[in-house]
Amino acid sequence: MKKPANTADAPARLRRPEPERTEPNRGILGVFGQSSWGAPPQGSHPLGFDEDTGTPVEPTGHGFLDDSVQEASELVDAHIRQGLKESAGADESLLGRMAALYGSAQANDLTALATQFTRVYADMATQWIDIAGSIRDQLGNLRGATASAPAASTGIASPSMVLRASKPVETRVDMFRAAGSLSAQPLTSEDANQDLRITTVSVENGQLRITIPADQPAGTYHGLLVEKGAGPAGTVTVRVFETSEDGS
Amino acid sequence: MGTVPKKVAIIGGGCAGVAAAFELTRPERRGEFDVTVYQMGWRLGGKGASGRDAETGRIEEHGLHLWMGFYENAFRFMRDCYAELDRPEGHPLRDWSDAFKPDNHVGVTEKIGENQWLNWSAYFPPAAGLPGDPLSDRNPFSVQGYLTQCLRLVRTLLLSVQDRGHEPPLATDDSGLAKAVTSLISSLLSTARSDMTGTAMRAARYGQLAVGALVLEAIGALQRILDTLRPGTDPQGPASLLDRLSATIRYQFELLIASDDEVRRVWEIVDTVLAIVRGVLREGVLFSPQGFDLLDKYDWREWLLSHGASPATIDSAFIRGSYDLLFAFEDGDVARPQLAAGQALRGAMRMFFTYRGALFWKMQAGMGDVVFAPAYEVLEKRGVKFEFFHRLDHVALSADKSHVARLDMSVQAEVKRGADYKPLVPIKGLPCWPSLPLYDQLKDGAKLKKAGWNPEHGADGDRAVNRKKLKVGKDFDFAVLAVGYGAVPDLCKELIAVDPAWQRMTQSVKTVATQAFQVWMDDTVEDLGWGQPPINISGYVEPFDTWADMRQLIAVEDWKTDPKAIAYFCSVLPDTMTGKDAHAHVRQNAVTFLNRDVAHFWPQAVDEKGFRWDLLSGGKGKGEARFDSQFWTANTSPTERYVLSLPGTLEHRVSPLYNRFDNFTIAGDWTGCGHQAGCVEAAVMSGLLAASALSGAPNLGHIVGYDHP
Repeated sequence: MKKPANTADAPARLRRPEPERTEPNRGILGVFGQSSWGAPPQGSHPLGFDEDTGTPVEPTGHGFLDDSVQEASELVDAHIRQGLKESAGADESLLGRMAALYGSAQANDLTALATQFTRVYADMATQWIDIAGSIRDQLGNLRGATASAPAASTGIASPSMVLRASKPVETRVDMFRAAGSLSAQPLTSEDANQDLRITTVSVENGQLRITIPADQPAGTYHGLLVEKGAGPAGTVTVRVFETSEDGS
Repeated sequence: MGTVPKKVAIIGGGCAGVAAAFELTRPERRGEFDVTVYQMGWRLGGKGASGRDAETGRIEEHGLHLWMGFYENAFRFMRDCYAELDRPEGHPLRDWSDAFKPDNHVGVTEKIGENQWLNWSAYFPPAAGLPGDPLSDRNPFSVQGYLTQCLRLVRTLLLSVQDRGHEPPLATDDSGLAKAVTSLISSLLSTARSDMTGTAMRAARYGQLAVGALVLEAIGALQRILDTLRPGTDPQGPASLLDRLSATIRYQFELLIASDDEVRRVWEIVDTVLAIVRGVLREGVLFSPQGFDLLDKYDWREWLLSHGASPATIDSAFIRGSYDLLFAFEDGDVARPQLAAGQALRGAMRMFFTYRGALFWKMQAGMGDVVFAPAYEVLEKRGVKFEFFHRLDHVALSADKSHVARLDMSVQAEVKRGADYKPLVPIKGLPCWPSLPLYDQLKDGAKLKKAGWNPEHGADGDRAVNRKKLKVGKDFDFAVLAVGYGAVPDLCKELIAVDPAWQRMTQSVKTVATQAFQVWMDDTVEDLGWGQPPINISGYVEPFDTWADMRQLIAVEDWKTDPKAIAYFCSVLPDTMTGKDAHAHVRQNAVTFLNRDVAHFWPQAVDEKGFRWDLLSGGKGKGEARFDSQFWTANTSPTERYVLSLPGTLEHRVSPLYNRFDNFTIAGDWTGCGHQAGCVEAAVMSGLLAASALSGAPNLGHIVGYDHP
């Protein structure tokens, strides 16, 4: 009869450590660059050991960025509409002019019209990229804002706030620049798997009003403050805590 | 350190396996890992292995290996390796910068008619920094950054020939890359500029092209807006009008393009870049958590076509060259080009927009001499053990299928008196791998030498003088499978049987055989009619679409009388030619190519009878028989086959970080390593990931480009 192995004397088999993740972070941070490797100190080594293994930067939520890009897109549309208006002339619609040209197109006329379109397109592209860059820069600020240490104030006046919540919360407003006529976007969770947003957020009479629903899951939520016609002007961060059993 | 080192068995000593060994044994780890590399045959290198001929010291490669200027991880590995090696002054390859030299010329060959081809070479100016340098503050890897670069490139292309007084200033800083792109465009347009008498006419043509290219874009944008703004109107009217207007302009372009090669080339680049910009925006790549992976379900050319690139553009030399570069032909059939669009785009963006130093870097000796001999020397010095002539036969799982319990191996040959095999030979003072085993060190060496035994190939590889069963806890704690993908399905049957991820990978990932030949000649290529700088050129006719001028190797080979030219040619090898006669097929392909096709590059190398075989250095006999003195290879064995980046397959690659079998990981350019293409960089990245999987280091954020969108 075979004897059972004396497992008491056998050394424990070694196992791999659980990886922090198994796939690349190609997501929203990838669009604007990953800070975890993007800017090492001068002379630092990109591979091998690092004295400070550090804490990986957690991905920020996606939703608010999508909203901000929608905002940027609307600005671009407005810009294009303006360009179309200028290129089509005061008393002639774009389609009418195109139809006329198509019917009896002269090369010079076509080129002239094309040149106008070209400028519109170039302006659009430039503006779009500039806006994207602006969001990228602010994303960097936002990552700083989510750190546990108190963040430095930007020194730009924030709107006053009215907060209603039945559970403990922390709030923070960071303005990129001074802005009037603000609107607020819904706050989206940092956790990409958590899609229950805080939609009861608004700016009324210069006052930021946020109501946290009683059943809002704990977590960190972000949203943009948008200046009408000028794009993102600041961010709102709300951290919702679990309510303890005794209600404290 | 005081604790027992963890034993790691690395199976396969190619780029991935060696990079993993290098990371696991860095001095900073203070002996945490006791690494043994098991290698089939007599040399490290895998698909990158090279050998030196015993008589001439000539270099014999598996194919053409060029390092690109964006291979950040691979260059960092080499730079660290050479630094640690600390070779003495006067050594032929003392430093990494002696081993790799920048190569700024790249060419493609384009077909302009039946049996008519045109060479197009471009000079890519040096970019700031060197590959492997610490990264600067500016992060080059972002979709937004790439779009900016693309638009800037288009704008530069289109405006560079217009009235410069009206050129708008660049919106962003005048970075080194912007200067590089500007220089590139200048070089592309140098022909037009040098032709002073035709400058005005050409400028006018470019001007039309510029306006036309952008107006097509503008029309597309307008159409979308109109659709949005006027939902209540009949969409057919404006859509039809815009379509017809677009068609009219495109027709004008095509007339223009047909009349001027320069205009056509500019147009092809503009058309490609605009299709990329359109496609990236339309498909939502910017905000996709998958980054460019989102596009991997499409074929690269089909994707470009679907976003407005013209059929002529997707058949252009530039696009065809990208397929040649990655041997991207399913089953080796050149009629079936297939390349995942996301990876193609990632590769193209990195290749053209993030290179440092030079677009290409050329090794100054064989890849074995430049990469694997230094790595071997450093690793051996660190205490890594090498078991040559060890072929893995089977990976066995534990009864509960949780881990690898056993590695079954065949010993192909044993070293006399149980000594360690000493694999390197000096050629002109440089440690090199021989092109065949050093039989003198082996038991039955004389017999093996007489038979010309080659343990890397066919039945010779099956030779087994002993069997070993490496057991977990005794012979290894961790195992890294770092063999070529072609061998994986057969070796890992137990893993595949129990794990869906492994099943998906092995059902979808495919490889392709490749072929290559090298010739040494007694005339320079200039004497033979080549009128451009030394070049790497692809996109040419099959059976060999790529030629690289390798004259830099003459100095490190050891001929009695030096040849004056060395040329490497390579291509895919159709699966229909991969049987037992593959070697003969490749020989015939090479002979046919030299007789029929090489005159395009070297008109003086061919006379009315065909190729002038007397040009070949070291040849014996007369006529075609002299070719037998040259070198050719059919890379058909499973571990030699090149991994393809086929659409719809990349998502199924298993990552080295995947932890289904808890003492086991994988490494190779076939893994889910972040850069899913068959290349040195991907292999090194996978080696770093494997090391990270076993030890937590390097930090994933420090593997450059792993988190690339």
